[in-house]
Formats: sequence, structure tokens, C-alpha cells
Amino acid sequence: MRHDQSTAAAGTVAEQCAPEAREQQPKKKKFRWKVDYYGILFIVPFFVVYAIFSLYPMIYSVVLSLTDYAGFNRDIHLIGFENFVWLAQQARFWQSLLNTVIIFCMNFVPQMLFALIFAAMFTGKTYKMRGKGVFKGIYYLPNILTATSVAVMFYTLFARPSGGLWQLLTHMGMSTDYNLYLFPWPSRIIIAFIRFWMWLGNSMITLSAGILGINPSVFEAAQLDGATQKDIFLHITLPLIKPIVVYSLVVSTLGGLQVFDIPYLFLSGGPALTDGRYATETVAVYIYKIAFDGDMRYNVASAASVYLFVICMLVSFVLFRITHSDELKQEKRLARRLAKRGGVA
Amino acid sequence: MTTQENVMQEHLTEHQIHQLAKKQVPLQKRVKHVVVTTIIYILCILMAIVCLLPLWLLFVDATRATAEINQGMSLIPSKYLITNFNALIEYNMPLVSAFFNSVLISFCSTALSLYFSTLTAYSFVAYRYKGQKVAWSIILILMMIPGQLSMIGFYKLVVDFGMYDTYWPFIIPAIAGPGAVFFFKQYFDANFSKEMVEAARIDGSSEFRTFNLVVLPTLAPALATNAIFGIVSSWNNYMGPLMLISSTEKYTFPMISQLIKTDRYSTDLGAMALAVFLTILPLLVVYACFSRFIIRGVAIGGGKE
Repeated sequence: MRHDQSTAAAGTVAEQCAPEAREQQPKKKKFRWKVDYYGILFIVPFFVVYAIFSLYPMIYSVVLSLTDYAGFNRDIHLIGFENFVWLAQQARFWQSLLNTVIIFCMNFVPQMLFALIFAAMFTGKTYKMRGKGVFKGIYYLPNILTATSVAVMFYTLFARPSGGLWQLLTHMGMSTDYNLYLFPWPSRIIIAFIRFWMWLGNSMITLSAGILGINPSVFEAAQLDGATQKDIFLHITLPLIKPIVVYSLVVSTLGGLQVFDIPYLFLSGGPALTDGRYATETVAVYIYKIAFDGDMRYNVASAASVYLFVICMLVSFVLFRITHSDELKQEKRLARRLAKRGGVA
Repeated sequence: MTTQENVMQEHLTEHQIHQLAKKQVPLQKRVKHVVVTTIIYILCILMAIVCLLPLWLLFVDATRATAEINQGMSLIPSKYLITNFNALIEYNMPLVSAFFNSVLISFCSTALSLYFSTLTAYSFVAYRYKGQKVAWSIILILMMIPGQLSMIGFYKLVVDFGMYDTYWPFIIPAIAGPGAVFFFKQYFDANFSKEMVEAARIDGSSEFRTFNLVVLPTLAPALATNAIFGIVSSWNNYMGPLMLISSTEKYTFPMISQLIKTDRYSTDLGAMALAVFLTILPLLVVYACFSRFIIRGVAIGGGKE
């Protein structure tokens, strides 16, 4: 009642103050030109700037990938898919893709595993712990640091013979002759470790938020049914935060496929040895080097970025597809189980 | 009153149950509890050491002389901080100018990003027009597109526009950030009050005025969260400036790291460590002030790869 009165009062005030508003009120849902025109006006800057600074460069890149534009060449011709064919024959390009995948896997698997363990510890009900906020703060800290500074920091710390972490490794039994930067695998592992170090806190906080978002009554019900802490984690928490794990997987994969800063500044693509020369060169580093470090082969670099784009889109599509079908299955299973239980009761 | 009493009663009984449970729990279980708690703390502290040790080693190295660094690692700071600092000044490391360049870029781009993202998001909640749904789906699709594809084209565009070696390519595109628009749309969906806007309209305020003076102030918490992430991500941007900035006096802060790795500095290890430490110092300070805020932002999905 009260609410009705107040709106009526507002209506009369509106009628007194603004005759235009009175006219508009009856046909509320229709397009109100004088007002809604601003709505269009407000989104114009976004789309104009996006079109110029993102969409146009993208199309430009795709077009460049079909041309022979390289170096200071002013006379540009369309040459079809030659660049794509050429790239597909390049061992170095495939190597860079492989490196990207290797570094990503070595980084992501432990990152997710540790993030899950710590998220479980921080959200556990049986073992309440103090100082969660401090620990979370410490774990997240590396994530906001500049990746380039972090890369140089680890470069100096793992360098032989002055790096602190290199010296720590020799104390733990590593030979003092061993220079980590001369070999492909140690270099890759260090790059994967840097990314692990930087992103662990982020995953952990995202997963914790996901676990805290689960309805507590689910846990209570399981506890009443006599489930152990381990059972609850494996059979309730994990399935329920699966969407978040998958979301992290997609975001990290896209980020991992495009990783540039750390490998570029760390060893600029690889140990200097001939057999490991491109061992840490990711696709993004390859694209950058082929376009800007020396060769200026913009056409090939564009073709490589088109490949990368297609791979990114395929990966995220497939991942979302898999999880979506999984979710549907799970829902069905749950519904069946509920129906059964209902029947028994 | 009654509800309050209920709460009290519940609280009491819960407390009693807890006490009873404590008495009935066998000793073995209590020992197990203590052991597990200890293990958890040890794990947490170990991980904290993993996170902080590299930073601490870097800081310690920044206070040591090159000879000391070559001798072996140490966890105790030495006394050559000022010597190293003077060495950096002697090398003409453009730390100060790079710092202010980065401040300029990150503040301008974040300010633009905040204003235009909120404006765009506002247009989706406050108005109804044809094509609105299509526009929104386009923004959602744009969020999925990885940025790498446009790299070469962006470089060409910047060169063609005569914006090479200027800061415009890092500032203007901030107007069109699909992620930020999405973030603010989410916020609007939960907090937007149409009545307030109607009231302002009836009072004769123009649409722009309404947005600037009525709507924008109500967004303060969301603006603050997004501003921190915007500033940090703009500050940390490396590939763009690397590609588009050529003169040393226009270098941004992350580009310092690249200078540090060149031969000129790499013989003076102490000064080098100090330079790296100085490049992360501003972020450490920012983090010390806003860490709670930042962590909450990550938890609601503000942090992105």
C-alpha cells in the first residue's frame, strides 16, 4: 500500500516538474528517442576505438599473412597461403609450439595440484587455522610483480656462480660445474617454475572462493551421513568446483599459449647451444623475434599469429565443450540418484 | 526479542555440544588433530618461504658488493646499498624517468578505461534500444579473442598513424576493454537503481550529467577494485612498449629490466640486483597498502591471466 502511494506521489511531482516525463510514462517500454538515444551514444566510443585499435589490426594481420610483405618491401602482393605452408614446414615453428605446450604443462599441473591442496587446507572445517589472510597475502604477492623483473630476478638467482638459488642447489648436492642455462630441460623447468611461482596464489584464491561458494548444507548433510573429510573432499568438493577448475584451465591455457615476457627476457628463446638453441622459445617469442628482431618478416609472423589464434580458439572451444557435456551428464546422474532416493524414502 | 533469545539459546547449546564433544573425543584423536594441524602449518610456512625467499635473496644481493655475491649466498643484508645506488646513478640508468613514464601511462589508460567502460556498461542497464542485445553479445565474444593475433597489424597501424615512439598506443585503446565492461555490467546488474536515475532525469539533469554526478559516485567500490588491476596490468605491460618505444628517455619501467640484462650492467652484480629490486619496489608498496582489496578482487574474478 505504502509503496503504491509513494509512486503515485512521485508521479504527481513528475507531472508538475517535467511535462515531458508525463508524456513518456504511458508508453514506457517503447523506444524513448530523446533518452535512449544517449544509450547508443554511450557505446559509440567503445566500438569505434575497438574497431580502430583491435579489429582493424586483426584483419590487417590476417591480410598480411597472405602477402609477401617483409623488410622494407613497399611493393606488396597477395601470395595466398604460401606463408602458412612455409611455416608448417619449419621445424623451429613446431619446436616453439611444442615448447609452449611443455612449459605450460610443467607449470599448470603442479600449480593446480598445489592450489587445490592449499585451498582445501584454507577452507577445511575440521582443522581451523589462524593467519589465513597473511598466508594468502604472501602467496598472491608474486602475481602482481612485473613479469620482466621477475624473469631477470630469477635469471640472476639461478646464474652460475653468483646466483643465490644456484648456490642453494649446489648445497643440496648439485655439481658446481653445472650451468643450468646451457641445457634445454633445466631452462624449461626454471621458466615453468617462475610461472608456477607467479600464478599459484591466483589459482589458490580462485579455488578457495569456489569452495567457499558451495552451499554449506551439502557438507553438513555429508557429515551427518558419516562421510570422512577425505571422502567429502574427493566426492563432493572436487566435483562441485570442477567448473572453476575448468575455467582456470581455459584462462591459463590461453595465457600459457601466449606467454612471452618470461621466456623472452630469461634466455631470449633458449640456451645458446646449437642443440638447445630454441629450447625455450614459445610461439609468442617466435612471432616477436621473426618480426622485430632482425628479419622483419611481418608476413610469416602474421601467419604464425593466425595459427596461434586458431589453436587458442580450438582449445577453448574443445575445453568448454568437454566440460559442458560433462556437466549435463552429471546433472542427469544427480537427478537419477535423487529420484532413486526419493523412491526409497 | 524472541529471535534474539533463540539465537542466544542456539549459541549456548552449540557451545555446550562443543564442550561435550571435546570431553568425549578420545586422546588418540586429539593427538592426531594436533599432528595434522602442525603439518598444515609447516606446509603453509614452507610455501610462504618459497614465495618470499627469491625476493629476500634479491634484496640481500642489492645490499652486497659484487665480490661478496660471488663468494656465496647470504640471508643477512650487507652494507653496500648506498654504494650500489651510487653506481646505478653513475651508469645513468633511466630509473626515475621510466618510473614517471609508467605512472603517466598507467594512470591515463586506467582513467580512460574506467570512465568509458562504466559508460558502456551503463548504456546496457539504463537504456533500451534496438541492437542492444547484439552489442552485448559482441562484447562477450570480444572477451574471448586472444590479443596475440593483432600484434603485427597493431604495429603497422601505429607506424602508419605516426604514433610510433609515443604513448598514445597504450593509452587510447584502454577505452575499449571488453573485460572491464563485463565487470561493470555485472556490478550494475546487482546494484543499479533505476529510480535514482529517473529522479535525476525528472529534476532536469542531462543524461551526461546524471551519469557523471549521480551514477559514477555510486560505483566507487567497483571502480577502486578495477582501478588497481588496471594500473597493475598497464604497469606490467612489456611487449607493447618493447615493440613501439625506441628512445631510451621514453622507456617504461618494465623495459628497465631489459637494460639491466645488457652487458654494461651485468658485471656489477650488486647494482644489477638493486636495479631489479627497484623495479619491483613500487608494486611491493602498492601491494602492502591494498593487498586485502586485491585478494578480494581476485576472489570475485577480477584477476585475469
